[in-house]
Amino acid sequence: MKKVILASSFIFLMASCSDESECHECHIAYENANNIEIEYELGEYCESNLQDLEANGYELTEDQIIGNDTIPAGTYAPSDIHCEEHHDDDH
Amino acid sequence: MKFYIHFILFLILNLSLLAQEKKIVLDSNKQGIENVEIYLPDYDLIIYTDSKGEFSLPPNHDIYLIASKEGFKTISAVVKQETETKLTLEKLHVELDEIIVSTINHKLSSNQTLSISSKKINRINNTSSNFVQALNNISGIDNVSTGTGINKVVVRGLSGSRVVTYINGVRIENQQWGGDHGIGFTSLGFSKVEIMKGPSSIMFGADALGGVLYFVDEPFERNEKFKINHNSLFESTNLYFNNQLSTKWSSGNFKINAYAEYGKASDYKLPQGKYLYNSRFENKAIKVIVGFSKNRWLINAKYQLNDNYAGVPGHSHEAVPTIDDLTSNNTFRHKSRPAQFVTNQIANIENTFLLQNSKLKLDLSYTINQLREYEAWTVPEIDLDLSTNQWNFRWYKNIKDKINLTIGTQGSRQYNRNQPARTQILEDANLFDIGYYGLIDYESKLINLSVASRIDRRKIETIETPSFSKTYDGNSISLGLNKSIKNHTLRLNYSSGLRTPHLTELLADGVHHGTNRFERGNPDLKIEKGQQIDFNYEWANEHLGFIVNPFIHKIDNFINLSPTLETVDNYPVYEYQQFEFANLQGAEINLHYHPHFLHQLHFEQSYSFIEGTSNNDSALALIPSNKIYSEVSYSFKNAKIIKKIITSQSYHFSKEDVAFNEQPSKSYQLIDLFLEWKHKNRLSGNLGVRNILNTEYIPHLSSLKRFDVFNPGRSFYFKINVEI
Repeated sequence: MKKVILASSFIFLMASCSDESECHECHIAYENANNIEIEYELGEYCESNLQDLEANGYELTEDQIIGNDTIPAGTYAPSDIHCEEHHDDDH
Repeated sequence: MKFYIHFILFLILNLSLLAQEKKIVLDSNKQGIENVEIYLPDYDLIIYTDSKGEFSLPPNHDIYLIASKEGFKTISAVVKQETETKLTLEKLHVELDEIIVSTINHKLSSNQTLSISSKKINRINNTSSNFVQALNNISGIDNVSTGTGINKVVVRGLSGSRVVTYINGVRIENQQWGGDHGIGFTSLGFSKVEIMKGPSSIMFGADALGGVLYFVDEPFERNEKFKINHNSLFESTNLYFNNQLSTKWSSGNFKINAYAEYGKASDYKLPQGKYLYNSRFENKAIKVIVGFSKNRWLINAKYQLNDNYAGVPGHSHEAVPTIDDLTSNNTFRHKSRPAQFVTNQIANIENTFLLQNSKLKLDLSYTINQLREYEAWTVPEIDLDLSTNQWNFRWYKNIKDKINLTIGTQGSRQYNRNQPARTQILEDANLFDIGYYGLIDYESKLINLSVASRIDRRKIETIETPSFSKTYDGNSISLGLNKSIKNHTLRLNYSSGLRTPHLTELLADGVHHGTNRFERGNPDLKIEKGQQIDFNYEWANEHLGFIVNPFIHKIDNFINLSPTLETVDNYPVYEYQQFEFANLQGAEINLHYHPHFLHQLHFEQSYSFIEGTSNNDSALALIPSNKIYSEVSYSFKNAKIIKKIITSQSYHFSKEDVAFNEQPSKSYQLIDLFLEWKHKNRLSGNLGVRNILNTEYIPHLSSLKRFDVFNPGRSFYFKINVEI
């Protein structure tokens, strides 16, 4: 009986382990003239830096040329900053 | 002196206990039946008969009880303490609909004038890891889903704010207006769910226009030893595992049930082998119920906490995403984005006072719902707190044996508050509800009749300026008749109901990320008023039974979320508009056959047909497709381990008559196979396979239909139950 209670408690404890990562790759999502999203990678952000980026946005100091598109310098709002994962990301 | 008085009272009480006469349950051959479930609704207590069929009752005056056992006809009776009682249960082979004693009005299904369906949660959980999806097997019930983690129930084509959910006497407020907001709790600690189809405003208040889901907690058990139960299940399609732990104990007047649950699923596997990215979910729950009785006063205190995480699949930055943009070659279970975090807390106290020929019930409750929708990791898109105080006061009086009177009042005060977030779809607002109702039942051997009426008032006011403040008044009535002649039972019910426009329908003005659209409210919306006529005919003999249940439901001022040609920030704009009226009509048919030569074999089939049109004859959106559900089961009488084998087939018709801008859907069929097993008395479980043929299918009410995303493919299922 004791063994079963211990086994049950163990399953519960094992199952409750948190696995939420605190660092994430972020990018500016810029829509070009053809309504195609161009990504400018900002690198990995963690904890308070991530919170600050997602709350206040990003100041891009120089124009960035990616392929045939230019992402202009300027302030990018939080809604233009994407840190969520997609199906093709490396998890 | 005080000591002597207490001592004498103690002796009298014990003598009264000793004075209790024998109570026994017999079969038609006058043999005692072991393990009959004796349920005492007023005490919310279950007592089992011993090996001789005998049982004893708590020391009190006349007690209303229900005796049931699988394979026998359920009976109800009022039993007197001081007289010897023999209850006789007749053998029963065909159960047309599950024989129920409604928790709503404590009547046997055969005496109901209302259309109530009931399912035992145990039975649902035997063949499914998702209890909301499993309700689909009940005729007239469907669900709206976003993957496997977000589900909500549809009753005869209506859902959201039109279907009210209760847990015991507490109305659950969980931002149910959103098509992507799931039910918010699991099956933990529930014994059954009762479903009222159609307007049910009388007992459940404004908004119960489409129906009511009434979840009932497991009763207490008379058991002075701690009874511990552990359930584990595994489902292969999404590597879902779930563990539920429960304990029950009682001593004298004190009773306790306590539960805990943890479950986690990864992305589910589509029939073609890929995985739907971010369809993972996680649920945690605890529940504690404490009961105490003293003389004629019974009190239950209940608390439950549900903490749910659900990934929102179907997210892509592509203008027109393909299935490849939404799926991956691997499955993941870590928390991702976009996601919903929903926390529900429910605390309530139920008081029952058993008076002479009458009963008084007073329930008080407090619920908190927290809904957070994230696209970013740290800043929510929406963060809403909804807290609700409720009270429910009822008085039942028996007048002249055959007539029962119920009068009551119900009210609530609700506070909707936004927490810091990127967007605000709803304003901070307060809501005040009050309703008064009366119900008269006449019950005789020839006919059962019921007449009921209710008045309601709702006030909605916003906190911010410019302020919005409006009061809505309405009334509802219900008339019911039930007549049984030999094997035939006829039931006819007329009910009216109302629904005031929800805050979101009046004042929404923003992007709803869960649905990827900009929603705009309309402050001039009027009250929706529904009227339903429901006819039910049942016929059954020892081996065959069927039910035919046609209905027609007309809803005036039907509120509809309609697409416009406008866009805001690339989101399509939808506006709340009102049709002059909408009609929902259909029929549900149930069949149960049980051959005389093979009593262990059962064949059941149910048909659900529904059609919804607006006043301009166009089809209503989100009306489920018609379906046929068939089940064949065989019980093994003397087998050592395998107890039952069940195979089922559900066929869903194609849906071509759709609303403007709504996609039609194709027909499909699903075949499942399950085994129930038991080893001695303490170890039991189920195993099976769902969607055996690995069918590619998209339910008509799947919100992922627009992306052509299929529901899960073939899935193996295993469940084990250990009783300690």
